[in-house]
Amino acid sequence: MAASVSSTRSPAAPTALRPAAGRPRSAPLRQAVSVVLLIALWQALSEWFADPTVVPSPGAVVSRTGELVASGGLLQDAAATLGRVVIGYVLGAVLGVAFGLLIGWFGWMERLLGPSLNFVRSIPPIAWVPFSIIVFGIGEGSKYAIIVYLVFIVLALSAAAGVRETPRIRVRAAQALGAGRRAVLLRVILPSAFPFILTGLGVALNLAFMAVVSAELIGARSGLGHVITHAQAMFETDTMLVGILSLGVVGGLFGRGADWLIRRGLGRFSNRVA
Amino acid sequence: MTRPNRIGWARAGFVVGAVLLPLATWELLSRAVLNPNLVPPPSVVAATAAGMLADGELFAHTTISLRRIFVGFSLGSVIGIAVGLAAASSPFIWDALRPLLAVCSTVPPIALIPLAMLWFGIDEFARLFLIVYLAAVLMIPSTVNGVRSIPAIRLRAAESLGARRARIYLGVVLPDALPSILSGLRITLGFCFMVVVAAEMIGASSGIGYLIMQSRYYALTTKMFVGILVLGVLGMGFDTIFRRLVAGLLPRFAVEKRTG
Repeated sequence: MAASVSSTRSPAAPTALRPAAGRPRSAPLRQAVSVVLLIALWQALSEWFADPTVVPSPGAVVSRTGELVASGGLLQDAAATLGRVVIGYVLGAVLGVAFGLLIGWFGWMERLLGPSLNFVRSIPPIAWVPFSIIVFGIGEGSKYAIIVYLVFIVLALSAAAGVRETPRIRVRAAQALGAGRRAVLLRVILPSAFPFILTGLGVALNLAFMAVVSAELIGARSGLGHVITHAQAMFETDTMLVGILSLGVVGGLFGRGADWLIRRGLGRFSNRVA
Repeated sequence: MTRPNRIGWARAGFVVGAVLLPLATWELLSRAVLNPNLVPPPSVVAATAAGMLADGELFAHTTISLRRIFVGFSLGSVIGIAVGLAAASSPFIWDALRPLLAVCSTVPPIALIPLAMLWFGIDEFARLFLIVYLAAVLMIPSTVNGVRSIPAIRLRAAESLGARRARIYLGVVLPDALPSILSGLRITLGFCFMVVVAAEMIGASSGIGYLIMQSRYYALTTKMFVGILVLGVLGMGFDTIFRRLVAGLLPRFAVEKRTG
């Protein structure tokens, strides 16, 4: 019965290759079973190795998380990491968009600077961390520098591409209707470039998080990356896992939150284009 | 006849300008404004690079990094694509994998480097494990998405024409999923590159990442810049090769898909 109903809506794939989202009702159950099995496997591994510095048990990691949260240390480090990403990201995004619009507006600037920006963009950001530490010190400066640099380049390139891809006919139509340069830039080019800028903001989000983690792993006195390297030095594998999982959680929350903010706060500007 | 016209000259001028202008700015800034010991001018970097090329140091580190990237990337991608194909055809496997993948994809791979070192030491195996893991985790979702986006009617057409499972896989599923798989491979290669460099910086005794990190202890920023520039060349090279590859491979399949 259910099969015939669903087949009238969307034709079912052949049985041999039915897509995985076949029966949504049983999917949560299977996923729950899978989670339980994974945790059981983890527990079994920790029993097998019987050495908490190799594989700490799930229980040990949970209680370690409790301790670290209760002492306030974990939250402080998470706040340090998050603060670096947010400040660096916003600063880099604002500067990058402004620069991208500028070089896109003056086409010759983009032709002169675009190739080197693309070259620099293909360097893994972590490679700059030692240099950044030499120049800006081991404190916050070197972290901000890495994130600002990375976000700046991504957004400069996408904003410039957005300006370049603006249909000439729109610009001419606006000019024919008497718009000045300011009006053309703000009312025509900026909205046209907006989808590109939004894409760039999304890409930069993940890269910024990667960058802050790598900067903290190589040299920092606080932050979740520092929690991990410190735990490595002390052979506290449970603390290391807490750090790694916290990074996953913070990164996921940051990504979701920023994505929501970007689409909620900025998405409406790009609707005007259509 | 084929004398370059004015537009051709202008284009050539831009190409030369795009190379010379940033280099000249860098040279000037480093010599006149900044500290040349801290930010070495490009002429000094080039001379150092020439020296490192001559004594084989640069070549040795580069080949080691490249080998690490390619072995890990190809092994991990093959595993990821195979698991992805299996997951795409079985809701059981897919649902079982999803929680694990959700955890793996939110944890930044660079953060796993200390864990890999703790388990496997600073052995070559630690890096191999990390890169294979990363490539597999990244390739599973893009393979599954590629297979899932295949219109059911194409599968049914193949089935009703009497094709068996293996034939459907090779003739319909794989070619149709290829665009998604290829774009996944491109992203995966970029990530593998990044993580190999990171792993070499954090715990290794060879490779471009090690070269950069080692220069830090002696504050030899010139060598550091040589390493950074080599990474830029490699990163651009990967992307160019991949773009060419995709341009060569895709039309064969993509055109058919559009008309069908």
